[in-house]
Amino acid sequence: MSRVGRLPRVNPFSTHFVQPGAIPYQFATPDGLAALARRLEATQGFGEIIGPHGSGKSTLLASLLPALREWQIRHVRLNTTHRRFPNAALRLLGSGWLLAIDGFEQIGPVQRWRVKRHCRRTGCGLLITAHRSMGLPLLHDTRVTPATAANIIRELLPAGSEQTLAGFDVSARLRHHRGSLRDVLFELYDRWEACDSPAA
Amino acid sequence: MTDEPDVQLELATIACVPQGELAGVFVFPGGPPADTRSIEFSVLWKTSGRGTEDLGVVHFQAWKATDNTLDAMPNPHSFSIKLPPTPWSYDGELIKIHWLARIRIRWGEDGSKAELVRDAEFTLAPVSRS
Repeated sequence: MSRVGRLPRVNPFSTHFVQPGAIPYQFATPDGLAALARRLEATQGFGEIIGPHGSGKSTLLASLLPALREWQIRHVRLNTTHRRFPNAALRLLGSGWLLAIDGFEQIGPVQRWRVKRHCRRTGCGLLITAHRSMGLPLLHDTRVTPATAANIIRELLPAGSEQTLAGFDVSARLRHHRGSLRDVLFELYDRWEACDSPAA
Repeated sequence: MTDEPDVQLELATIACVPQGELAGVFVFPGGPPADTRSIEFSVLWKTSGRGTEDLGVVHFQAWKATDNTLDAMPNPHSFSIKLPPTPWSYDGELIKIHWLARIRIRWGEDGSKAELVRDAEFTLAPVSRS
């Protein structure tokens, strides 16, 4: 049967449902977000969120920034295709400002040093995400546990479609993808398509 | 604040052809809520899948309390929209193309985030294969 002209079926693991911000970050304790905001306040706005690729760093940052009402925020997103740090982002930053950089390790060590020095000198806060420590106070480690991954997957799956997960070992797949929940969800996207396909 | 309003959106057909017409009607039984701020009707396509999503709006119409157009909105409201030649509906594994008619109503005081969206999905393709 042709796929053209067919009413598309919704895949619960498509970008719309799993992109950063679509799934609320899951903390071990209910006051997780407020606790992070307090911790950042205690470190004068200096902190880092670290964790493996696809573990929810950007999701956590997207959830946290709106909760930081005491700060004026400048948010810079860097990734493998946008590695150049916009130097203009440093202009006019000072006390009361928070520079949030998602993907801090994408810029070189000299530029990282410059950014940190600029923030310390001007009194501007610096909140970053990275795969490993960049020498700032640790705010949160986003490593995903199998239990958290299983919870998120259960929340995404529509009722009555649990058979998609038959034989799917979340813990093993999370290990296989080196802790990347995003890659586990990509795998489930493909699995859903294979199960849901009329040809299957 | 008003309870969630009731809106019904119905299409004459869910299988449309390129450059054909999408006909239908939407109705607020009992009328829109007294504190309605805006009602928007749109016809659009959007992609879904594993990658970046895309969206294109081919028809948009709005009635707002602020410009006094809300009272002039017929209820029920019949529509007939000329559709473009592409993109065709597609149910691929990596990407899907959805076509839909959408009603969005916002109500409550200024700054309220109360809104309701109703979608009615249809297909756009040269040969209907539902």
